[in-house]
Amino acid sequence: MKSLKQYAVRLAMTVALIAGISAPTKSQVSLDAYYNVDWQFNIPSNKFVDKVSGWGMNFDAGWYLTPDIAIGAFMNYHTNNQYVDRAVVHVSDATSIYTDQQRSLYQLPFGLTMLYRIIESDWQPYVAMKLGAEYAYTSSYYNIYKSSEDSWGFYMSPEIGVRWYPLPNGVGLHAAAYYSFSTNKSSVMGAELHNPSNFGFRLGLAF
Amino acid sequence: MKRLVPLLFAGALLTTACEKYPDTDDLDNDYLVYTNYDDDTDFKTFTTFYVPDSVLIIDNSSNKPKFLYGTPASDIIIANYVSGMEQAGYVRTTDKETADLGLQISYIEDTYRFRYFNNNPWWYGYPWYWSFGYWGNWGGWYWPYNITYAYTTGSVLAELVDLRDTPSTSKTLRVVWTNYITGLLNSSGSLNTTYVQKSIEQAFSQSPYLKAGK
Repeated sequence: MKSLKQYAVRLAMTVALIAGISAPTKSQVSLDAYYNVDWQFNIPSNKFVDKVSGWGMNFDAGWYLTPDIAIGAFMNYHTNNQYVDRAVVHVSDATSIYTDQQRSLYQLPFGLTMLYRIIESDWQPYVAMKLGAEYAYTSSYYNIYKSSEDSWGFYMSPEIGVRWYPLPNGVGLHAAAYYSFSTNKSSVMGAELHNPSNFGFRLGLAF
Repeated sequence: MKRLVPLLFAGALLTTACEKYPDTDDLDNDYLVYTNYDDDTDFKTFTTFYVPDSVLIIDNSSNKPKFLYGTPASDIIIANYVSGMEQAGYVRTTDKETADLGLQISYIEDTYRFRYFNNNPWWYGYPWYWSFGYWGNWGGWYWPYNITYAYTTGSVLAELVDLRDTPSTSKTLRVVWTNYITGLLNSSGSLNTTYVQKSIEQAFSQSPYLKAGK
């Protein structure tokens, strides 16, 4: 009995999926454009900070030049913080500081998106490449002090995702996974940020 | 709905805080130990050092210089610096005129400033700071490296000065090593003393260049 019920559920889900994929794209706000507002989870990979966090947001807007290809603009920001145990920090050849610290990396990339929509339906899987500039702010809080440095770099980020428009009012859901790389460089309290890269995913609303 | 999308975008952008600041409550309350030295100085060329028997107090309230003399706190601070210097191979002398190095120790009691300097540290302007005349007939101070850190309540400041030149009012006294120990004062005096003792040991531990020649 139990297996029959499971079979029925799977069948219903499959039918719904096929129906969704084959349905016409009437439910998004504009057939010629897309908009996303996302929460972002980021896994940084660099020597300055490597602790994951969910303190970020992403914003996308784009216009379809053809039914498959869109060009758009993006902006996102993310903060990753990390506690560093007490140690001697060599700030320069002649200066040393013994302290613990809270390091913080704030990244804010923005630029243009090139997007290819794989299927045009209520389910819209896509691949995209984002290119632009990244502003990065590295800081360290220790004792009662703070040291910081900001930097600019070139930014690139391939992304794969899907938009789903199940409702007739134009509001859908968005999910995406990304990798990013930028050429930012800075040094704070003896620790360097050098060409940081990130993995992560985004969950949000699509219009 | 189409008209609302830009508004939703703008609203989301404006209402979300951009940067998440780290929680400084996670920091330990131990002291910060800062050391800096003149990398043109060969510390192996020094042999002897002289240290005054008092700790100068720097505060905002005094109309005349105040010193800690013969108190348990000042004795512990001086003894720990002397111990650090002796373990580095330097010999303490009671003759200020012949000493190679002078070690002056100050304690910042109740002031709180945030100021950054390049070559003239803030304490140079303190009216009762160690007179360069204390060390002889010198004409002023000279820090050959940048001093870039401020201080807060409860800071200990120690400096090594090079006394080998013949004093002259046309010459400035060269500071070759600086050590700050800074942290928030605790209500427990003994805990502060323990922190300071540990921190002085740490100052010498992170200054391996302080080694007398054999």
